[in-house]
This record gives sequence, structure tokens and C-alpha cells, in this order.
Amino acid sequence: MIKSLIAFFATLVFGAVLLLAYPATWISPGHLTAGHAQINARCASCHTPGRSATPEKCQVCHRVDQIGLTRVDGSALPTSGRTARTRFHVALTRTDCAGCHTLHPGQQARRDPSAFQHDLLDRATRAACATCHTAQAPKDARHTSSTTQCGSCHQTRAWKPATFDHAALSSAGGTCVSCHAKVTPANALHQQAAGDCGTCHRTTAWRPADFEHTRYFAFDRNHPSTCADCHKAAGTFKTYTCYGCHEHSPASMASKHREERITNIDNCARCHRSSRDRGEGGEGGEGGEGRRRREGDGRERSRERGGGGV
Amino acid sequence: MFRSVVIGKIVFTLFWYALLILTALGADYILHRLELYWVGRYFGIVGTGLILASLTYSLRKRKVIDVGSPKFLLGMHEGLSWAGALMLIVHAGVHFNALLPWMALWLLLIVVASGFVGRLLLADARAALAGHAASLAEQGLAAPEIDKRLLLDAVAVDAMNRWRSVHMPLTTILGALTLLHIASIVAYSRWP
Repeated sequence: MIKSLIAFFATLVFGAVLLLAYPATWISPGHLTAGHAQINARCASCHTPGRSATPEKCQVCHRVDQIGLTRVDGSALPTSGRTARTRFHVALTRTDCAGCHTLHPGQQARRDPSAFQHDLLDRATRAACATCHTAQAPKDARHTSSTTQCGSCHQTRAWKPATFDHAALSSAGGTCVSCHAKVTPANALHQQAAGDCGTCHRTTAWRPADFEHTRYFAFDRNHPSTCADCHKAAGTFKTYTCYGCHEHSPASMASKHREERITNIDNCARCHRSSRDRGEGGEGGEGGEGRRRREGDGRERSRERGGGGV
Repeated sequence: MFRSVVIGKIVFTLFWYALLILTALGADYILHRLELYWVGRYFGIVGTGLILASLTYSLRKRKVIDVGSPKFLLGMHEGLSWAGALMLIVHAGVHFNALLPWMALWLLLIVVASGFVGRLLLADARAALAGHAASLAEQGLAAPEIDKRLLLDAVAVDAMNRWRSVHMPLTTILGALTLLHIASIVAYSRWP
């Protein structure tokens, strides 16, 4: 026990002496950056016991109002390029050098840039992202033609994920594909969609999509062969017609419906929810079910709006 | 007989030691993949706390305190110090730029190894040696002859005994290095 205590105190005293005499060797987390090499062993130049490296000590050499303008020796810095971008320091509302910088590159020369707290900047500088992010500014047409501020879609923590308010788009010209051409699905169904993405998809997200054709008309082996068989108007799926194939013609349909005293025969799916739906509402299931649904279903209104054929 | 017992225990000891190292490396890897490496900083506090708690056994053994079953406290000492060492290794990570943390980590590994030797090896080695000596005595061998036959085994047990005896002094030195480390952090780093 006594030997252990002696070992403890001897280590403590001897270690403390070594630490004070050679702090860079014994406790430094790595050599300083080249610009600070001359104070490598003088920890107290930057560190204040109990407070780490304080901004006050940094500012002894690095005056905030001179950052990006002059070096610490007073010589002028280039007025463009990387050094010019560091002028944003002037706009900081609070100085916290160690919040972004560490001079011991044994750890990391600069902390994770994404950790930069943009709320340290004054409001005007924070809104002008390109003041600092000139190199990262996107060059594609979508962004270069945009007049809105970056913060409308992007956050300061990361470029992605971004949100985009499609309502801000001009109604003149432009379709979904104008911007989303690279992500247009190439499968057969979407190839026929002819760009009217909004029929099924929303602007907030691609999924969930609310395409459910059965709500309007149930497919079977004969219906349809292609979308265009029924949806003949270009660029929209809100209109359709059942006429045009061997089975259905306006004349034959008018004749059949005349017995029922039905004269509006253009919006077939209003009564016929499938090719087997007789539209009678009696036994036979589908027709009755379809009719019952129609009576209390708000969705019918939207179908009727678009119905009527071409 | 003696060698088979000791070799089996050595393998068992090495297994636990390797498990400690591999678990620490795995935890460090996972924390980095999840970008949670900063958690390791706090593992230093938790690990130190666990090891301090495990010292209850040492106090009980030296009669500084007289509460608690020694057997229970020994089990707690083993478990808490293993977990504490694991956290301290993760805390150290693989980022060393100065001598003090390097020395502290290596000393920690040596202290853990000496603890393993004491607990897992020595007791069984002593029992096996005594049993072997008794067996030879029953066969009618004289004491000098028994000593001669068991010379190598006795030397092995003695070596383990000496290794075991450094456990406590090394632990106190580790404690001193830990205090210096904490003092340097308080003096030169921003915390938390």
C-alpha cells in the first residue's frame, strides 16, 4: 500500500513537472499550423487556464476588422479570391474563433464546415449566401434563372435536402419535365403520360402518387391496350372517350341508351365502372356498387368535371 | 496436468483480452461510421467512473471498508473495470499526438492484463501446482525430488505471482496519469 502511494505521488509530481516544462510534447494534441509554428511550445499564448483558447487572445494578432484585408504583419492581402471571402468575419455578431478553427491539425485544421453557425452572421450577410459560397453556387439553368434567395429552398446545415415551393413558379410556360427531365421515369406507363405528372403526383414529393384507375374504370384484358385508346387529348388524362373502337360508336350507344331514356352518353364511366358493368344498379354487383359509390362519393365530382369525352 | 490447466486458462485469459480490444475497435468504428465519434469524449468520464467504482473491491480487500461480500465485490471489480477499460480505449480512439495519453493508454492495457493474470491464471496455477506436488508425495517421492521435478512449474507460478503483484502499483500510476490528463484538459481545452 505504501509503495503504491509513493508510486502515485511520485508519478504525479514528476509528471506535472514534465507537463509544465514540455507541454507540447506531453499534452499537445498536435503541432500547430505553419503560420503559428513559432508559438508551438507556448500554450499560454492562446490558452487561458479553464477557458481554452479565448477569442481575446486570438484577436491580439488577428483583428476582426482586418480579416481578409491585411495579414497579421500589416501587409495587404489580395482583394479577390479566397482571402476576400473571409471578409464575412466582419459581419459576425459574436466572435467565437474556436467554434470553427483549431490550430492543431493533428486533430483537424478546421472544424466541420457544416457546423458553422450561420446565426452568428448578421441578417443581411446571412441572406446573401453567395458572399461566401461563390465556388459552390450551382451553374445549372434551374438555379441561375432563379431570382429567389437560396434560403427559400436550402438550409444552412446542408445543401440537401432542399424544399421547393412550386407555387412560386411562374404560370407562364414550363412543365414538370422542364426541370425534372433527368428523373422522368422511362417505364411504359410513364412514357405514355406525356408530361402531365400532376394528374397523379404532387409537387411536395413523387410518392405517394394517387393514381388508381379502378376508382374511375376497372381494367380488364381488353381495356385498355394503351392509355391513348381512351385519353386521346394530348397532355391530359382528365378527358377520355370510349368511342373509337369496334364495340362503341356514338350511334350504337345512342340507340342502346334511348330505351332507357338516357341522353347524356358521353361520360360512360359515370355509370359503367368496368366493361362488365351494365350500369343498372341491380344485381350483378359491379354496376350496383359503382352506382352506390357515385351517389355519395365526392370523387365523382372531379370525374364528371373531366368527363364527357372529346 | 499442471500445463494443461494453465494453458487452458491462458487461452481463456487471452480470449477475454482480445475481446476487450476487438470490442473497443468495433465500437470506435461504428461511432465513426455514424459520425458519433464525439461521444467518445464522454466515454472518458463514464469509463473513469466505472473503474473508480470497481475499486470498491480493493478497499474491501485492504479493509478500508468492511461492507459487501468480497466475492461479490470481486465480480463487480472484474466487470466494471473491463467495461471501464473498454470505454477508455474507445475514448482514446486512435488519435494520439502527445506522450501523456499514449502512456496512459498503454498503462491501462498493462493494468488490465495484470488483473487478468491475477484473477484467471494465478489461483488455478497455484492449485494445480499444489495438487501435482501432493500427487508426487503420495507416490513416495522425497521433498527434494518433488522440488526438482516441479522446478519449471514453480518458476512459472512465481513469475505470475510477480506479474500479479505489479497490478496495484501500476493502477496507482495510472491514476496519477489520469489526474494529469484531466488537469491538462481543464487547463487547456474548452469543456464540454
